[in-house]
Amino acid sequence: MIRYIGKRLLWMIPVMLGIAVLIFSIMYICPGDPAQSLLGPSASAVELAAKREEMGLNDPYIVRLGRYLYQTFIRLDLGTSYKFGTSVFAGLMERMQYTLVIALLCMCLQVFVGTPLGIMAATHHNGLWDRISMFLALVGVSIPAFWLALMLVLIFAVNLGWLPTSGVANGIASFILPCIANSFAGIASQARHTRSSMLEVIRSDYIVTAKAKGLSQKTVLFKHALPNALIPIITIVGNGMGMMLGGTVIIENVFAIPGVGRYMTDAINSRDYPVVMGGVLVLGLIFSLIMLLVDIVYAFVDPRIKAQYEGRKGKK
Amino acid sequence: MSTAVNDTHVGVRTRRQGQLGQVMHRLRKNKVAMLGLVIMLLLIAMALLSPWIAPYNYAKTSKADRYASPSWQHLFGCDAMGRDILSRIMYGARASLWLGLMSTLVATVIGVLLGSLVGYYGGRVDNIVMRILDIIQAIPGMLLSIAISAALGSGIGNTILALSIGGVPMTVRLLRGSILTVRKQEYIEAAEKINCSKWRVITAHILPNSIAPVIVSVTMGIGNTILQAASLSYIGLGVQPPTPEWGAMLSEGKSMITKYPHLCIFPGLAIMLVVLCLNMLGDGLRDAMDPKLKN
Amino acid sequence: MKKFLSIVLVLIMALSMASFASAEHGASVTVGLAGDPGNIGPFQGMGLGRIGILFTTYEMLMVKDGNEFVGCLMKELTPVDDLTYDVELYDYIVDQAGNKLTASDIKFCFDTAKADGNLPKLSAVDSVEVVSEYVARFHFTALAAGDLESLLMECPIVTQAAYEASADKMATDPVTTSPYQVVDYKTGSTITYKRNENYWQKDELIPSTSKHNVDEITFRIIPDPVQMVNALKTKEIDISAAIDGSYISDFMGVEGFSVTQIPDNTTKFLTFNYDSIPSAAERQAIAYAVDVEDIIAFAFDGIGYHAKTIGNTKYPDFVEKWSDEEYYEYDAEKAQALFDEAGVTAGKTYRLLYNVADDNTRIVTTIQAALMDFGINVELIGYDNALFGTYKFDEKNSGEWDIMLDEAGSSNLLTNVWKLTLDRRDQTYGKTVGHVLDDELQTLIEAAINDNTPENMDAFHQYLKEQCYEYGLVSKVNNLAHTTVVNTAVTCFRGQILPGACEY
Repeated sequence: MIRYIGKRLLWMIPVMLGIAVLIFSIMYICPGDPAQSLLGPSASAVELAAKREEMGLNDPYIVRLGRYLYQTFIRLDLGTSYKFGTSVFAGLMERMQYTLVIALLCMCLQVFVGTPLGIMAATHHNGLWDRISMFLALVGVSIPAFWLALMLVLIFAVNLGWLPTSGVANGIASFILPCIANSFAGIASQARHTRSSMLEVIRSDYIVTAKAKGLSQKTVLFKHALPNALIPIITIVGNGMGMMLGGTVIIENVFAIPGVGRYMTDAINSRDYPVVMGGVLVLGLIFSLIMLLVDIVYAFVDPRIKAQYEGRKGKK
Repeated sequence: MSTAVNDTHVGVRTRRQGQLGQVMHRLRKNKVAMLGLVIMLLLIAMALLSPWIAPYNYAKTSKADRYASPSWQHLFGCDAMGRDILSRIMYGARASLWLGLMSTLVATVIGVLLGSLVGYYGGRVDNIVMRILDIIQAIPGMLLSIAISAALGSGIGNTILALSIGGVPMTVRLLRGSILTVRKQEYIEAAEKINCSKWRVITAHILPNSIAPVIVSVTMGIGNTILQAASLSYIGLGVQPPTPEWGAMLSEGKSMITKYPHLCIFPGLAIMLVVLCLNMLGDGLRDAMDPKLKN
Repeated sequence: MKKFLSIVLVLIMALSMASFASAEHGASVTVGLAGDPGNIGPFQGMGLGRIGILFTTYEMLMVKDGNEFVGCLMKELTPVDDLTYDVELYDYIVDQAGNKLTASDIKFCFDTAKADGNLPKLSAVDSVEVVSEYVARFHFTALAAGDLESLLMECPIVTQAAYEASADKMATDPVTTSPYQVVDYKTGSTITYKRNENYWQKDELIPSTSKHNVDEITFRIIPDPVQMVNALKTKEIDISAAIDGSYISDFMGVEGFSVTQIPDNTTKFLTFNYDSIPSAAERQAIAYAVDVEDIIAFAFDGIGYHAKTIGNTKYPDFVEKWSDEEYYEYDAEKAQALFDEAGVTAGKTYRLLYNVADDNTRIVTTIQAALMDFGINVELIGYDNALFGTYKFDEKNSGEWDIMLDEAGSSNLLTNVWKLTLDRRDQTYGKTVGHVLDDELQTLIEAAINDNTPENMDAFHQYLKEQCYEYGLVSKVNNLAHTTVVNTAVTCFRGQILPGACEY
């Protein structure tokens, strides 16, 4: 197992390099002018051309790629944002605070509300509880996030005045509405996947055996069924966490939260190359680490998977 | 556990059904799934027939009817330019359903193929493909779309490509996760020992037992896909006005959501309906493929 | 006892008069900002978020107060010759860190700004020379009418000492001569300013951009327009950025709120691609075919004016009589006649390039519907801001569009608005943005730029109108809503609120 983890960690280096080259190439071929965003709408063509030259944007691909790779991997410098004039890394970390809070809170909601909902639905398959919760889950997944967010603001902030409409100035109160709005889809997805997974497991032989042995419902559920149903659930949680740490643009836009999502999206829109490239690398690294964690948890949950990691001796 | 061929005896005659036939048969018996399928087909019919059945021309603007609330003349009301929302929803079904369903299909097919490969062969293949997916997943979807638009031009095909790329990694991971569990079960080894072709092992034995999470994920994702199509119009892909598209209608109505909610409610309901039907169908499909439910 | 009482009374009167005096200063105000200012250093380019905070953060040599240019840091301007001017500073200017501002700081600012290249207008300044402690001599390369004041307003001024003391070139913590100092900048979220007690200028000499009627200003970045309205409704902000016309009714005439309508200095206009529409009759036909009243109704909720040229009436060199002139008002018959003359038949398709934003989308959809009445199809090609900026000027892309929707404005003169797209000396490939290579147009615009007399302006205007290379659509009006904490809202010439200048 340790060897497996070690190998995976080593593999991250080519992955990071791959991400760097890919994101650089994509930004290179993407049309769109960073000079335009810097100089504003009233700049003339000549002025824009001069600015681009000054930014070194007219050099050939290999030269720029080389410069970029050297700066990022040898000097470990993610560069300075065109738009903000501050270090990309500092900017990311500053924004990450807020995104982390939201991601953790939402993930807790997702796991601790979604999973029990799914289990209940599975154990009452085709019953009233199953139908209601699955319908609610579908509604939750198909409601556009901004619609939900604005409705919540309308009710709780504008009409009732209990919570602020936007911004991060009010401590934990600022995060309540964004987290609720953001986690709806996640809770719904979690519930459905849990239900689906549990249903598969519940009908398998060893569960039937366990029941036949006279074990209580609770024991059957938590000692036998749930651990086996965990694999897809872990995938969802891992993937979801990774995505959320990349920031949820819609929620951040609606609630004026200075998070990673807005930082990256604004950077993409204004072609702020250093932020986009630096951000993608950092987020890519975080995501890879989370995926590694997911694979490790797979091994703990299911010894058959662990065996596969450890060796293919004689097995195909 | 699951056998390749099922003989059903009806009196003296014997009907042989392939495995696919079995799945279809079980699906047909599932009332909820059939309801979902029927509504879906009705929506598709509505989309195709929209030029004839829509009450108004979807592009007809009217100063007097700006933001009109739902009434008998305009069942769903009118939008910011006085265009009838019901007609726009009917016509918009074409773009939204086509983009949504096709991208979901493409993402699923690619994802399942890759996932099966990765899950079955494991080892090096698993590592390399998953690392490549890590690299692709690190790139923000919007950027990938811009790159596709820049490299390949605009057009519906490229829009579908841009929309489906986002769904592939998740599908692969889900499938891989399931396959990792199923792979080592006894019946798989048994099938391999009796020299079943790899293809058969994968399609007949592994996939049916591991595809459930994929179905759940994919059917839930179509709503998101339709919404994403709206943001693609900013980069030259997707649909341009005045052609209606549900995601674009939602975006346009967003700024008036507190004042004139009907601009967003109806496209939102339309999207929800599609997600609901697809999920009903998906649930039915999953139940039909689950061999433990065979009876 | 009496004596005691009278002393107490005097004391009370004195105290109340003192508090009355300080009651003229509001305590604090929160302003909604729609765009993110990003880098708030002095020598950055003019982005959309920056114009909202520019005059609160910095002072310049000259500023525009209402419609006039007045000196801010500059006490006196003396011409030496046609291209050389002496600028004399007040000799008691002190920045927020206590550094004195001298002529060498002026030279430093202009030199650094030119080197950074974010303020391209400054290429007209050849060099700045320090003549004495408070006098700087400006050498210009060329000076068109009205340029002098704009150039002196273009560059924010800081002291060299403060600039060099900052770790990040004042990207997040500018130290300036303004009455307001940045005390906190949470990037992407809020900027907080506190009034500087030791502001250097005497009250009676302060221009509106440097007034300081409030103690604390907080700018809140709220990207979503619906949330901007919500934040105002819950009074989390006191003044909003421009809001959509449909929301005015929520605040106009409502207890506790009021709405101020300010004409914006930008105008929306159409540019025709000469390569694909070489016939003047065809361009005129399109102009007649579009009903601008419809555009104003659909895109701006009925609030706005039909432009009479590429620019609005507020510019000092706008010629009065143009307001009453005919300017392609909607006329279906004339349009049809001209289409026939140009040989345009039903089934023709025009490609309309535009920058995707809510109001632009509605404008182009209206134009599309209008031309549909003549059997003409319009294919809409929309791009986001960055892409539009590239494609607009891109020669490779020049064959991809027939009509383009754009917007433009300038800080001082109509000629400067025209220059952006119609002066081919400013474009990269020697033609106007609409690919026009017309010598007469060029001669007329150069005459107007050099000497913007009404005759020259009119000559160019009539020629442009006749040829219809570009067609002005709508002069925008901004709706600023605010709570009654603010009695009178005051804005800068760009239509952005000046929180320090508002009356509370």
